[in-house]
Amino acid sequence: MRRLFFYIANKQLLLFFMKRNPKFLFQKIEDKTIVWSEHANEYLLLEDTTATIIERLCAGDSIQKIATELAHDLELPLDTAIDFIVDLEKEIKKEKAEKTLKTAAIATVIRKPKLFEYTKYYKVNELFFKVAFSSEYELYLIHPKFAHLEVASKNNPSHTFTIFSKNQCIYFYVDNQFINTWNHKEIHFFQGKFSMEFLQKIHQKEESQWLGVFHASAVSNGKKAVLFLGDSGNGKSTSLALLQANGFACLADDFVPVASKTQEVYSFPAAISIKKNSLETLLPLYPQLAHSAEYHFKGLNKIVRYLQPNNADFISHLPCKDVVFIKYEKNSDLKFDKISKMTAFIKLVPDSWLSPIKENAQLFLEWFDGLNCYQITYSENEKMIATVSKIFKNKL
Amino acid sequence: MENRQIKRKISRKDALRILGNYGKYTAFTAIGTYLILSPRKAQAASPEGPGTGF
Repeated sequence: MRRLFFYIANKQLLLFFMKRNPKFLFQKIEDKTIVWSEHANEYLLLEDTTATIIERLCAGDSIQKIATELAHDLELPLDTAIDFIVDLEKEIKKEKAEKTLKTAAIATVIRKPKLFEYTKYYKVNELFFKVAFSSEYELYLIHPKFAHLEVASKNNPSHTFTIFSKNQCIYFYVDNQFINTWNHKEIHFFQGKFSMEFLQKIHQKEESQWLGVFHASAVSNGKKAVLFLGDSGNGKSTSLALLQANGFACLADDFVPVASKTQEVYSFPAAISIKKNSLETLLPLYPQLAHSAEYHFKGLNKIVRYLQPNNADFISHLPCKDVVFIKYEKNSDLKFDKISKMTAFIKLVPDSWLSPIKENAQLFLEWFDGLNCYQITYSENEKMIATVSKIFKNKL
Repeated sequence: MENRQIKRKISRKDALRILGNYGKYTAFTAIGTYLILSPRKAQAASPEGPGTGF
């Protein structure tokens, strides 16, 4: 009894704050409820009963009241119900040891190098970007994906990006403003941030205006977009290259942004990375790949070439109602199924950047709720292309 | 070697009581089973390192 009193006394204060400033969003999807928590930017997949308990805590209902009803409904001892609710609340309010990428204070005293070995100019729509790389190392992190945008030097670039390394860290500035620094082991986060800054300038939208960036390929027929997802090595980029050779346009590869206001997929001009084992399939369609530069990523045992997207309209943005988890599997018959949204959600979220802003999280949940989710496993390209065409024509 | 079997006899009433409790706790276990998904905290590219020449 004393324990109960202790919990309730403490909870009243907490509930007061929760009621005034709800930190959770609730979205019913299929037979579960997704609960988003603002303090951790996490998505919890819960039974409806459990989600209702959190919702009631937020609304200010007392633990005793909720526990009494739960104990009655499930024929549980009251103590067990109280323990459950208290544990649940502890879990959802637990502070996570977040692996934030530290903005180093030393950045203010770091001096930029005097000499930058490489300076590249890129043109995207009507914008000119000047990117200064202090050495070949930084150049190879960025340039191969954007080489097709390169133009001759320009006097008054729209934006200047500066990249250099010091003490095993990479430093990134945009228009002389320090953005962040990353350890060389976290280089894919630097590349992601570079793409994010590039994206913001191209579409003139701040980071807060994007609901998420997905590790996917986006294909369009000029009217709408379809997202292709899958683990690395499942053939996303190869499928995209096949589709863009068969009448579809590449909207984005690897880095697929969705804006919060419109919930539309926006184009991003990075080239499509083609792995060596896809070359045989793609060379008849893209003979230029035979002569394009080959990059060796030794640590990852990857050899890739870059293929220019066939879409030069980097302003375009299109609605997306379909996501497809795609997998190339040698000798497999075509398998095409609609999959549950929950299955798709579980696969999608851990591999995506999703905005930590509450309004954007709400829009993401609503957008996701309206999606059709499919899975394709294929080995014959023609059958895959025919199936994707049906998705675009809503003829499934 | 002697083959020993331990037999435990319970009454039908006890069996129903145990099963009943089990069913009850199954429902309780279900509501306590949840999955937490954390999106990436920063934008990232596919993990590809710097190139080593052409």
